[in-house]
Amino acid sequence: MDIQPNSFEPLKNNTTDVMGMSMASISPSPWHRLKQNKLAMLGLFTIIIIVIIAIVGPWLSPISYSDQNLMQANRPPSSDHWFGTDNLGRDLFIRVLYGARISLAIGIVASLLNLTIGVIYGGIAGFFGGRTDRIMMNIIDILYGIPVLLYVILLMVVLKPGLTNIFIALGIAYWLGMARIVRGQILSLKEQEYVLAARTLGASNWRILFRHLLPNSMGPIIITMTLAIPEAIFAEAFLSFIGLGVAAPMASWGVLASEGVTSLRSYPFQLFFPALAISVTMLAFNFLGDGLRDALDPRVRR
Amino acid sequence: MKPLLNVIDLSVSFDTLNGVARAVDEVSFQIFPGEAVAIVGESGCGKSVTANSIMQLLPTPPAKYSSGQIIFEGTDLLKKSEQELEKVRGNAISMIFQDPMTSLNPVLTIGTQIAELLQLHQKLNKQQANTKAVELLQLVGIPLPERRINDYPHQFSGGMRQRAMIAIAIACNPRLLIADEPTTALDVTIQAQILELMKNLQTKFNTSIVFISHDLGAVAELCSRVIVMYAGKIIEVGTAMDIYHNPQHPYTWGLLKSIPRLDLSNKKRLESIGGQPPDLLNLPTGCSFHPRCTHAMQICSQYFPDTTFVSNDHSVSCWLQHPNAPKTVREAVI
Amino acid sequence: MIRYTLSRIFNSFIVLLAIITITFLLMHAIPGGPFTGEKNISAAVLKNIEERYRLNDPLWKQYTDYLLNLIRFDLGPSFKYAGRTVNDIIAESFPVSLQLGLVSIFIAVLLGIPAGAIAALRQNKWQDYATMFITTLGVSVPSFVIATILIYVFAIKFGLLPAAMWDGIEYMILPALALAAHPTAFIARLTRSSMLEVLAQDYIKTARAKGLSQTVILYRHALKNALIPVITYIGPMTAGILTGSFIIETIFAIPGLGRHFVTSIYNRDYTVILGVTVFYSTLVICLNLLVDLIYPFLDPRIKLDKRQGG
Repeated sequence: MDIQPNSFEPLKNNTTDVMGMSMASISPSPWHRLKQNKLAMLGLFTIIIIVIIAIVGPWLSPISYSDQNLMQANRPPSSDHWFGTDNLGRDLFIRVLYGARISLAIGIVASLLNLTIGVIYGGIAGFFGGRTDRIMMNIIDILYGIPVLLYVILLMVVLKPGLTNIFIALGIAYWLGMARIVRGQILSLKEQEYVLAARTLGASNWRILFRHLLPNSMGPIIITMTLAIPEAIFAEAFLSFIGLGVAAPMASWGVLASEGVTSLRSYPFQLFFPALAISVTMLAFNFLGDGLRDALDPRVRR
Repeated sequence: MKPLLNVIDLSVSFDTLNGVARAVDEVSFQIFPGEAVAIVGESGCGKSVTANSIMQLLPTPPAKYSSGQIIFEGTDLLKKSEQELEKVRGNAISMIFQDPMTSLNPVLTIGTQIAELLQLHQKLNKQQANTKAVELLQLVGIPLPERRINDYPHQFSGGMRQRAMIAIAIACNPRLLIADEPTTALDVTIQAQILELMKNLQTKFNTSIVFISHDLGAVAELCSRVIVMYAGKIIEVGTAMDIYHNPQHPYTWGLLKSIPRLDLSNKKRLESIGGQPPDLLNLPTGCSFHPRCTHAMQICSQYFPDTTFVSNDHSVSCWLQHPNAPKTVREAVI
Repeated sequence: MIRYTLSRIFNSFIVLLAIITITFLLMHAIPGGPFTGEKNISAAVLKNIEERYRLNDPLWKQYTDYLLNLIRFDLGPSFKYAGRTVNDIIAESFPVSLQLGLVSIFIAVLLGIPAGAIAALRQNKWQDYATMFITTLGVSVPSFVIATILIYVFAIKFGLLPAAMWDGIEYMILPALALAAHPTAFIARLTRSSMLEVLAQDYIKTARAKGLSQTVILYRHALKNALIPVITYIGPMTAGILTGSFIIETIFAIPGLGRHFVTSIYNRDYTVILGVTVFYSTLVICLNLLVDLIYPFLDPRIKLDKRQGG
């Protein structure tokens, strides 16, 4: 220890305010936490690659997903046909690439529909509260008791198979979770002081809902959306399997996989590649969704 | 007299995402048989961690008992295996926690939660344990105990739950009772009742008590000695008289000034200590308190002060005690 | 308690009625009758059939008739299989689906709960990572893929187990495993997160402070509390297993209700679709009701009209 003559002089500029510096390092930003989650980043990376391949891939290919070549039917994977060919001699690699477009489109459009319906429904219930909320949430509780997929099937039977109808059926079937999440968020947020402040300044109900409440509920909404996309892809695969998917020669991953199942004994590769594509995509979305939940959910933070 | 509990140079650290936080830093103190000692400080000062370390209740990881000894009745608790510790917990040493709302298992009856302890440590059978549980509830002042014993925690009020927690804590006549902010979550009137109850039980059973609190006012009645902690270190230790009437550390002055008092004139504002408790991951150099200290000197930001003994049982760690330090007129607190 | 029970039962009835109505209207919203697509039927025969199935009655008459029949548990005749009723089909094939479903639920509970509990107890250790990885796979890979992989490995490659049909216990193993994969993974994840939440509670620390051993804490203080949320998954799980059985029974050629349902979708056998949907919905709603009614017994905090506070 080195005591100098000036050691006992008052400390200059001794600030009593140490708040700023101490708080910042305690809770890193959600993005920072997400970046540290390797599985989540792997998921995000995989999703980006799949999306790029789905958009760009088919353009670069000289042959189309519907080009048949019966001479080349049921060929195993080779340098000509990376994933082999199906029973009509169509190139499976190209079909899986196209399938990515359709499956991803279904996932994204259906989850956007869920988002729209869920946000409007949950937003109204949470925002107006009281009786409105009770009735609207009762309806949700009731609908929750119903096996949803059964009704998606029923809707598809009525609507006839096809891409648009799958959008509609999945969109109107899976919004319940989103509505609940949004409602819960709005309910807790609307008691916050900045909402009161906005109200005192004369902001209208809709303005408060869309400018103040919804943007602050983004975290849980994003998580729910991330997990809704694979659910929709899953549901579509299911529908395709029981013959209610998109119409031929168009093919989603679900259609390709269900075609592959029929020829499993002789040509297992015809199932393998579409199944791999579905599984990898689902895994990627689930890892990302779990990671987002850990990063954004303050309850998990310790 | 031989101390019942002798904590020597205890350090506890936490591994966090952003680095290692030293929550308790080379802390030493003794508890003698039959005495009640308070550990006070702001939240995050390490007092709760110290309390939980004695029975090693902190989850490891993230917590790590990095060094030191905790000698209880002659043996080092830190060297004991988990099985050996289980024989001490709830038996020779027991603990009361801050929030009685969450400290009791919501799906088990109060009776079960008391009886399981007696069955475990005193090898009573179910019937005996139940009878003893009723007696204990009676002792801690719960009316109609033979009926309330079958209630679930949510059927008890906050004060009654804390009484039930105390019943659990004293069930096996422990030599040491650790109370981690037992009154913080309660209403003021209930606080007084619980303190009264603890005081009665202490005189009746001659139990030693470690009483953790952030409120110097609350400990005044119960405890004979007070330990003041700041940023994981003990900065002042003394008898209750020393601490209340002759405090030496500027931080203790601040704590005393922040007690609401009825005898002061209305015009005087209640003072608080400026600033925030420091970030344990990013402690100030020298004395951790210096950024908030109105008496800080050059040296305070460079070195941590040695412990100075003001009297036999009153010690303090502050550069103001150094012979070269200017003679600060201690701020009048009383 | 009684008021709550009655209002829950009443609610379930309303839901059921709503479901029947919606399903009924949906099926009748299909343009044209069920036989319009069939070209080899003459106009006279078509008329005859429509008479027999009362398709020319006004919609409300058909609806009330259907409801009245439902009260007598009569789901009506099948459109495609002459002389067979929906009741016949259900009575014949549901027991098969029930067996398969129960075995799957058994597997899911038996594997899922311990896996989740172990993962929670070993949080951030390899056991946790392994469980989380496998369960994420389990919820990510469609059941028909799992089924076909199982068939490929155990039936085709090694010939250990039969790949199809329903003729004894060994025929049950592969389909039950495939059907259980998804709920097992889900239960494990649910148990893990709920267990982690419970383990972080203050009362677990109290239990440790009492000197209770890890095992006692786990069984008496943690597991029961952690499993309460898992109970609420029974309803959705049953629904999932029912719909899952459509695919699994089709792949394994099991003569259960699920396969009949899929066949009836291919055949556009509307009364069967309607009947099975109503039957399955009723089943799931009853299970949900049951869970709601036993829930207060598991969690004393929600005893509804008993004395509160003290």
